[in-house]
Amino acid sequence: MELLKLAQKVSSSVAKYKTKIIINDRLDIALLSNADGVNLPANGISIKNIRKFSKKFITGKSVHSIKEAVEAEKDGYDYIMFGPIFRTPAKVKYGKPQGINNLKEICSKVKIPVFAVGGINQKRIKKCTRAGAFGVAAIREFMQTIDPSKTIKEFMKELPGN
Amino acid sequence: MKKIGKICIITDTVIQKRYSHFEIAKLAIKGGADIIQYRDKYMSTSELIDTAKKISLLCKKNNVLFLVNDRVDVAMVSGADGVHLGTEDIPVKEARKLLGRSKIIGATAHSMKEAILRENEGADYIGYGHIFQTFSKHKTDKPKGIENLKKIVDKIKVPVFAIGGIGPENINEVISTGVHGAAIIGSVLKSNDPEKTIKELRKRMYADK
Repeated sequence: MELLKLAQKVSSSVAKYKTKIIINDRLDIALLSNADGVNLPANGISIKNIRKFSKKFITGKSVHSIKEAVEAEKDGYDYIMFGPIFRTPAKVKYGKPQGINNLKEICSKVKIPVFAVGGINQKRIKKCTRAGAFGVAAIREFMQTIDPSKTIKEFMKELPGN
Repeated sequence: MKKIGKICIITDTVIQKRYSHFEIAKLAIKGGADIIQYRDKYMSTSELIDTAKKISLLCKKNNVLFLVNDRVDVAMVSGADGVHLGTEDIPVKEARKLLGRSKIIGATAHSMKEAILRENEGADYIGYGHIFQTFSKHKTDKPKGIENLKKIVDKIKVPVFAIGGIGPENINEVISTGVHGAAIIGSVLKSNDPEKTIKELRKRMYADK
């Protein structure tokens, strides 16, 4: 399906819930689909350019080092994604995972929320939050489960405040 | 909105590796292109933006129109004059919301129905093709040919650009349909002397005017 149509469909179908829609990489798609924000990859558009077109977007940045994390906070991003924390087939080509210790260090260096990503499953959530992660992001676990809403509920149980 | 000229060169670094996008833009401008359309389906967003900004500046200096293929976001932040949208890209109406009336939005059509639809959606020009056999994209469908191009040109009010397999050897046929302009890739980029080839195409395109 065409990217914009898909984004619009997702966005309108969750409008009645508190779930936020964040579009990866594409500012144009985020603006046209009425999303809540954009998540920028390492090689994405700059936050300066995002702000020219939307003041209210939640902006996230995917980072892979402490330096990038600190820069992202300075640049004004609302949150960062850090990973891969654990080994995950999708990211094997980029080398060794970051590990819990690096996550801990990042979390101690920045004040904005840090999401742990990469190889996240239910058992590993606590390890991430104990290291200081605000939240987690997962792909595989939700793609492979036969009951995504059950998996989300299980995830939520592991997160502080739930 | 800026004036839409007749010779559009599409930067393509898949069918050839001799020239980068920027180098193609430079060559095309030297040869007398009216429009540069920047097309890359593989680069990351930041790479796309960096290159687009460079080409945009070059085009401005030379009073050449600069369009970005597919990526409205890249056009928005690089100072481009507009976008060219394929049939799988963001629809014309949606792109217009982001770009406004002052920017140019061109759209691809592969049939009369699509051409009319894109025109009604507010496209500033239509790219119709492929007219001839082409090697720049993997095409499984048959070329549209000159007769179909003529029908489109007669029906559509906005400028129509012919695309696909157009070179010095067949440009006169294309011009005979009354088409506004031509979008060119392979015949120029694979030419031993791209600049000369563009000059020749331009001379024919603007003859008798």
